[in-house]
Amino acid sequence: MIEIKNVTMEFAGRTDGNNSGPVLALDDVSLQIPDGSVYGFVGSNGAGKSTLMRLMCGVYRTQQGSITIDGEEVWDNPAAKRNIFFVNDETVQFADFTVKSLAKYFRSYYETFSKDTFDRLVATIGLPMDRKFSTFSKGMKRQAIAVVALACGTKYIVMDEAFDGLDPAMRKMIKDLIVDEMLDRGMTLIVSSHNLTEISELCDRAMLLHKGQMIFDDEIDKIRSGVSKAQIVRKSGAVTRGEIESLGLTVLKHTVMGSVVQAVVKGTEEEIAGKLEGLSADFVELVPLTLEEVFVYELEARGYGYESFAES
Amino acid sequence: MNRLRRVNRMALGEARTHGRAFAVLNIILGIGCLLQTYQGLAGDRSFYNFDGRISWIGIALLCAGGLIGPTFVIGVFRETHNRQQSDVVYSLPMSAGERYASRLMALLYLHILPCIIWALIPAIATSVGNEQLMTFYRLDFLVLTKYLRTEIIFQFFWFYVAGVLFFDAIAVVCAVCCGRRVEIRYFTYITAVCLSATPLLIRTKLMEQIGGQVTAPSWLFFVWTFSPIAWNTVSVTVFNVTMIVNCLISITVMSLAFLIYRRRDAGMAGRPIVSRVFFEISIAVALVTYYILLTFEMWLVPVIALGAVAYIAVHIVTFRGRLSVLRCIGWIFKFAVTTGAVILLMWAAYATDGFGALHYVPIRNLNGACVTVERGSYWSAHVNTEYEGSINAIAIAGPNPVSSYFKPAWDKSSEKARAINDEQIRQVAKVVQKYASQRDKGFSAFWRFFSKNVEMSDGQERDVYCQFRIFYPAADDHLLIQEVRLTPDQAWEMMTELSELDFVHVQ
Repeated sequence: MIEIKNVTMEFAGRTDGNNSGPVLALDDVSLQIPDGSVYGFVGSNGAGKSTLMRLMCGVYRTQQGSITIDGEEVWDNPAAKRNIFFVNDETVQFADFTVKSLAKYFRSYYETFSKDTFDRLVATIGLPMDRKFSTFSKGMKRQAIAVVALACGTKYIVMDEAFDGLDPAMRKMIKDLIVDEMLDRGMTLIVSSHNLTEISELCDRAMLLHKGQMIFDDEIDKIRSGVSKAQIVRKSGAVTRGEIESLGLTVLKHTVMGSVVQAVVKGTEEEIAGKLEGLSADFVELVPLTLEEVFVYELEARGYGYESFAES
Repeated sequence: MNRLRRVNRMALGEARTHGRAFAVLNIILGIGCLLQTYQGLAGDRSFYNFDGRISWIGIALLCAGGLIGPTFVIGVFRETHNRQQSDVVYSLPMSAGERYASRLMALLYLHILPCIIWALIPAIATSVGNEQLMTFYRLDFLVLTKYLRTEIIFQFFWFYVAGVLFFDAIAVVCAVCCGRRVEIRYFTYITAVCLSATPLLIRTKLMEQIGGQVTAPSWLFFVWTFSPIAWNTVSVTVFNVTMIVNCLISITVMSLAFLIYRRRDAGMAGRPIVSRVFFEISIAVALVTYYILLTFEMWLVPVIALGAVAYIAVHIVTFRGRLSVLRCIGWIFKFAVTTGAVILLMWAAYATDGFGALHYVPIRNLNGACVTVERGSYWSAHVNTEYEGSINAIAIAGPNPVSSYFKPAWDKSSEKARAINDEQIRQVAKVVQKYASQRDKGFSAFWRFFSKNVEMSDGQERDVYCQFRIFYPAADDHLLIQEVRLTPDQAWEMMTELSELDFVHVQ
């Protein structure tokens, strides 16, 4: 299990005279990633997802708090890092490698590297072994890195926006490759992406980060079922936000169109339906939300949306 | 042992990623080695034709291979300046110590070992196969020794290895302290030049020009530097030991750089100057070098103005800073403090007769030596204010002088004068030192001494002096040379006092 406890990370301000102050990338984030899960990191741009992933892999040193992998502190600890493989969002650093030389490179670091797995996966995909990365398409590069990551045999694989920018067919191919291997040996995958449909399809758990703070962390189904859109009609007058909140519900968004009100409300369907009965509305309907909608409404409620930008 | 094997495996994994650069290096070094080996074995063997034994192209190729070390350092330590690489490297299962050790080991495999092997081949070939000498940089020694010694052949080898390790060690320190690729490159060359030039300049400008000591004192051999200072040694053994000590210091510096490296994480890659202390020290050393280089040659005002402009420009370029009054005041303050410190250092050199160099005369007793005072143009100097720079020699030489220059003087000196002992040699030295240190040690006198060349070229004030060169016997038939400047009156008094010593032969 990966355990993140009260992690805070601040990047120093730029020293190049642009007078930017320090940036708080993560603010007291705590999280547990259970073994065998597929965990999705979602969040706005600059929310701190990549920073958190780098901290988990020992790329950055934690300033406050602790990150442990199976009970071992990760920073500067080969014993902990032996269990984790980090795939970052770039492939340019491997430009001079061939698939073969990349495998050799990682083999010299990971004692658990399996040549059999590597050969099997390369043969399955049909990757050319002696061609340089710089001659590959983006999808091929991603495939090659995924193959090497799987061949390293680590318990955890962390992929930062690894599927972004790929066509749907290629995305599916890489996902299938990873998922098949996951099922075979019960590894844990942590993936960040802006594609929430993909996260909801692939992951069983997810967390949402915004401006360095964790908004929620739960199973995908629970996240989805924790927010609903209520369509409320009251002919005597539109239901106000205050009225809904007075029932003890948290309203993320409230839109009025004549006598029809659309309110995005936090809580389970039963809880919301029960409380909305007190409004004496003519019609109440609860619509389940997709993960993407939950993501958008949560962020809009925190001032990260078109309306907020337009107002500012 | 297990850990060492692990680090070695990681180093080999890292080294494999630089295969192309490694191949190019070995081609360059290999051609250089072949050319020099062939020339060393089959070149012109006449005693005085030293060029005939040296393949200049071969030597140039070997040196080129040695000097591209910083390129390998930048490649091996790529996680210090490349964000993408740092993501990969820092996430690998290694501790900071293992990572650093694997980097140094990779550098050993990629650059240091090839340089050592390709330089060793011509040295061994020349030594074993032919007894030819490869001492293209110590021609005087060839004239003096007249016999062949293996250690001479290895002079070039040690000189070369010390150079390779010196540049690589500086590059490693710069890679660890800087966050940008370009910074590593230019700081490496600036630091290498400054570290090599500063001890040499301290010797030639502060000790030789002020203290009169021409022969390098022994402490300079153990300064971590790489400059022709090492050529001026008293023996081949000392030269080789100096080079070996230099190699050891370079290895120590590389190892100590880990103390800075272990404090880094990937977030520092790409940031300008990770270690501010390193930056300030480097810039201060560069300023010291610059001042000592130019202050005796030029008028001080433009030197300081140019230094200030360069100092601020380096800060602007390095930190890509916007100019602000407050920031400029801060930089100018630091510049002024450094400048003041350098001037104080030079004054200290002046007030202490070149840090005591004037009084440093390691004399060796010479059986049957004589003291000869050669007046040169001293007498004309006494009456002619146009005089400058002619040399009067005081030579203490034995029957087998190392230079034929003193042979006639020795032949002419009386039998009585030849039988001098160690104490008598010290007597001569004391007389010389007494007059040489009789100058005003105040700051204004120092400032005047500083600006002497300028004043002379202006023609307004002439500082008339007589220059004396004193030759003392030292170990291995070498000469220890001291050069002092005296006013005509002091010179007259000193000559008179020396003439009164019955063992001194005045020509």
